[in-house]
Amino acid sequence: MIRCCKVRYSGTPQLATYQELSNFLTEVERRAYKQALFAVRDEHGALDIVQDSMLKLTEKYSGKPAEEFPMLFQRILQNTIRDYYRRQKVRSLWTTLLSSLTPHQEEEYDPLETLEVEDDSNRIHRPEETLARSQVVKLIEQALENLPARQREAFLLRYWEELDVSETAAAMGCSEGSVKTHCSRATHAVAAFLKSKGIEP
Amino acid sequence: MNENDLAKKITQHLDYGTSKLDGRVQFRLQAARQQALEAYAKPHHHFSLAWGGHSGRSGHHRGHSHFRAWLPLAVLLLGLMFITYWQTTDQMNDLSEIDAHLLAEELPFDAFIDTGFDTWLEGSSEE
Repeated sequence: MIRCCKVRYSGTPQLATYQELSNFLTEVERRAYKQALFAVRDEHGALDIVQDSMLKLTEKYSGKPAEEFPMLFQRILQNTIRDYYRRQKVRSLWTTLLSSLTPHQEEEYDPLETLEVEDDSNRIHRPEETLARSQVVKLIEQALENLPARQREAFLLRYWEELDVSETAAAMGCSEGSVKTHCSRATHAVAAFLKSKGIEP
Repeated sequence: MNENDLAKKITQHLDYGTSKLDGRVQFRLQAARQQALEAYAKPHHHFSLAWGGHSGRSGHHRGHSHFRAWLPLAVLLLGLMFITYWQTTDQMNDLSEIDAHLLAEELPFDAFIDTGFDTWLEGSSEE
């Protein structure tokens, strides 16, 4: 898939219109959600991250040319993910402290809920091909989740968001050499994971 | 297969995955987008002078509205700088006038009654 922003926003930079911003957000929202989901592994958390990132882009950078949106949005998204990690760290610290003081409440957790969600996402009554492809997608997503955060970030920005090496480096706040290394390691790690599951990507 | 081709294949699968997102998630993403776009369309109420017909409604006028927001502050700062300068110059003029009178021994009688003046005289004679 060729990203629309790479094709459309060429020529002399002009300030973005409402429509351009709307198109950009529509085009990027699903991938942004998946990126956040790979990072935080929580649906609600991922949705909140995307919502925050969209708001920040609109409130602070909507006056920028539309061609700058992909890079700006990815920077915001990555920072918002990092903020989420920090908040989670603080929250888990307090939860640990409080749970050590209060009686056990583990009975409230129902593991069946997780299973139900997974069952629901597996569309059983689909043709074989669709099912097989869905399984490959699931395995790829699993492989990406297992990657170190920086490798995953580099891979997704460089290859999924189609930023070039320098843009990826700027979005990640690292050198171009690091981006290349992260991307290479990530690609080979995903391929190796798929191979171990008997799938040739 | 080289790295780029491999990555391309992987991202194609990822694209397929995003096209099959849960309806609930799609709805939440759409709502988030709408909320963000509403923030774009909302008028920006800056502390600014109300001149001109537009109030910086869209992103195109954002630079202009920034200028208008900072203008009163700049005027205020310039005003304060002028007042400070004027006061300093005025004080210096007064002092030089007193000095001139003192040297010409035409000091008015009030100057000797003023205790502040005595204190100043003592202070300056000690130096």
